[in-house]
Amino acid sequence: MKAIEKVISHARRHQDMLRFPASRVERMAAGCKTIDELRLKCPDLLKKARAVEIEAYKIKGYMRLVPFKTLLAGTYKSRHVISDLVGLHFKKRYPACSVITWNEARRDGCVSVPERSPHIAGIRDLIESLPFEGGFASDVLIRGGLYLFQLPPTTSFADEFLHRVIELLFPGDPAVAAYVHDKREFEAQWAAFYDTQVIESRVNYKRAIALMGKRQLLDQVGAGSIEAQRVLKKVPKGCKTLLDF
Amino acid sequence: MNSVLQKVSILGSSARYDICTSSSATISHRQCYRQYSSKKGFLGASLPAGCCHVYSADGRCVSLFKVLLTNSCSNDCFYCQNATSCQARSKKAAFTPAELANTFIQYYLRNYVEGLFLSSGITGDPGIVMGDMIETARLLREKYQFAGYIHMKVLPGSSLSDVRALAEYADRISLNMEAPSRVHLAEISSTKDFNSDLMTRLMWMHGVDSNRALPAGMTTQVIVGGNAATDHEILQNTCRMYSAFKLKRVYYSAFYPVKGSPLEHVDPAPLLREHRLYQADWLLRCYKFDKKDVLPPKGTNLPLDIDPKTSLAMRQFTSRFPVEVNDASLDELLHVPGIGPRSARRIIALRKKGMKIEKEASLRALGVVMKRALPFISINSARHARLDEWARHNKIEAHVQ
Repeated sequence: MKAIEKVISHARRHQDMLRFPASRVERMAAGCKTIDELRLKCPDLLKKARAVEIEAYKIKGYMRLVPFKTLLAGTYKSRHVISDLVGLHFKKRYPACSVITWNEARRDGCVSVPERSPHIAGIRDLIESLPFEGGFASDVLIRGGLYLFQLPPTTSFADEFLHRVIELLFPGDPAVAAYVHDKREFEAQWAAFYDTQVIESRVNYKRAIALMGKRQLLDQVGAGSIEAQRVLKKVPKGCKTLLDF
Repeated sequence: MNSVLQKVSILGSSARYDICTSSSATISHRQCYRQYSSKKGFLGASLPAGCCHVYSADGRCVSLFKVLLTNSCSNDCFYCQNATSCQARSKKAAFTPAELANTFIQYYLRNYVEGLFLSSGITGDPGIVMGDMIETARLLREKYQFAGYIHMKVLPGSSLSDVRALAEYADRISLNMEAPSRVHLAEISSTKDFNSDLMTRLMWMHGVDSNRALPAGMTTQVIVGGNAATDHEILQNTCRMYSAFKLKRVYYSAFYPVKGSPLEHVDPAPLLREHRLYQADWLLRCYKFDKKDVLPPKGTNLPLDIDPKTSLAMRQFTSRFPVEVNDASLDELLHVPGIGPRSARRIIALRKKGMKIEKEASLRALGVVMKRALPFISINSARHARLDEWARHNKIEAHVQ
């Protein structure tokens, strides 16, 4: 039953399901006692739950954070309601830091603050009291040490909100400004490392073959091989090749 | 003097032939780095967050910060770009432990990497280089309070005390065997001794691992091609490694000639061969197939035009297939191409609930790859594809027996 509850909870977060009342998902899953029954009776529900899970997983990996002393901040884009999933991930990953994440597509954010932090008592009041041009930030809910919030539609997260929070947390600290300047240098360093890792594409063999240059492909697998013919689009549509195995 | 940017570029490039995917590292949510992960306030944890891969848009995997401590090396391995005999050796660079630990933490805090993979060339005494590697790990664990994933290489010729010290801090340690036997190692390296440099260290590592010191176990890496070793010998060695040393993984690396090295003019091994070895390895490790079914005949390689599981199914077609999905055991289902452990368990679980599979769509919904499974199964005694037609369609009729 726990697995079914997890599927239902994830499916509800899917952008298509947000239009319907929450009970609709339960009605779809009604009568399914095991996850395999659910898989057979409502494959769509499972697909939606899986899509949300995969999206959250990718964002956890792709998202880049900018450190301002002990505060980390980052933005992402998702049409699903996953701000608490992403927030919880980073709360566990960086238990000693405060983390602010912001979903640009849905305009909702999540703040996690470490236990015993001097910021914990006032962080909610701090965010709620910040006046912006379009109004005040509003809280959505507080769950498991996470503070979920939304901003007025006219307020910019990076230029206005984050700037104000940093100013309040670290007033007049030159080290914080230095972090922002370091960002460009850091990205150059990352690019230098990233370009050295090309050979790792072999982990995904199909992808590597598909991305390989034509000459290299012919050297590797031979011009007459079915893989080469497939990639060079000489195999009729629908015909199965070794890449399907 | 190299800047950190140059060092990252040079030493990252030098480490790119080491294979270190961490998919098998997340064995249990309770077995994360036990000494540190339970403490409050430590930075990160490999398992609650998941030591996941980060795939870039073009499919590259960059989950681990994979570098060498130094690329200076006194060994002479003919396949390696850092070897003394390589005429096109890259510029020399070396990290200090403090520099490397700080650089890594900056990457980790920005969520660019999930963990550290650290190897090194050997300049003179391996004990000194190992000492620096241990110091790097110590700084990460104790100074930066990093509780995430650390994979470190044990260097050939290192001492038992160094292996133990490394295991204190690392989640996973590994040692590159490079070849399945002494004879084949001699073909690609003039300085490494198979027994004293490699097997002895593997035995020590196994001793450390058997005391449950390593949450993510130990691994090794074998070069495919570049010497005369066949797939039969490589897989036989793999079986021995899994049974004798309880390795988590054996990685296979297709040989690619490095410019300026003594093996510069040797043909590269096809990536497809490496892929077939991984498929066979998977059958041995995860499907628990008998090794005599998986290994190719002595002195031969695995066929490249067909995957090992389909090849085995076609060889055993008359004795084992078709399998009736509503009656078959787990082992029988696992032998069907297109049915993996997960879908096989789902089929069994459904049967236990008294449900029957009636149509192809149900199997598809359970995760079975029907285009591969069809000729090998029957549903309620009805067969949906003939093997010879299916093989002709897929251009593998030569394997029909």
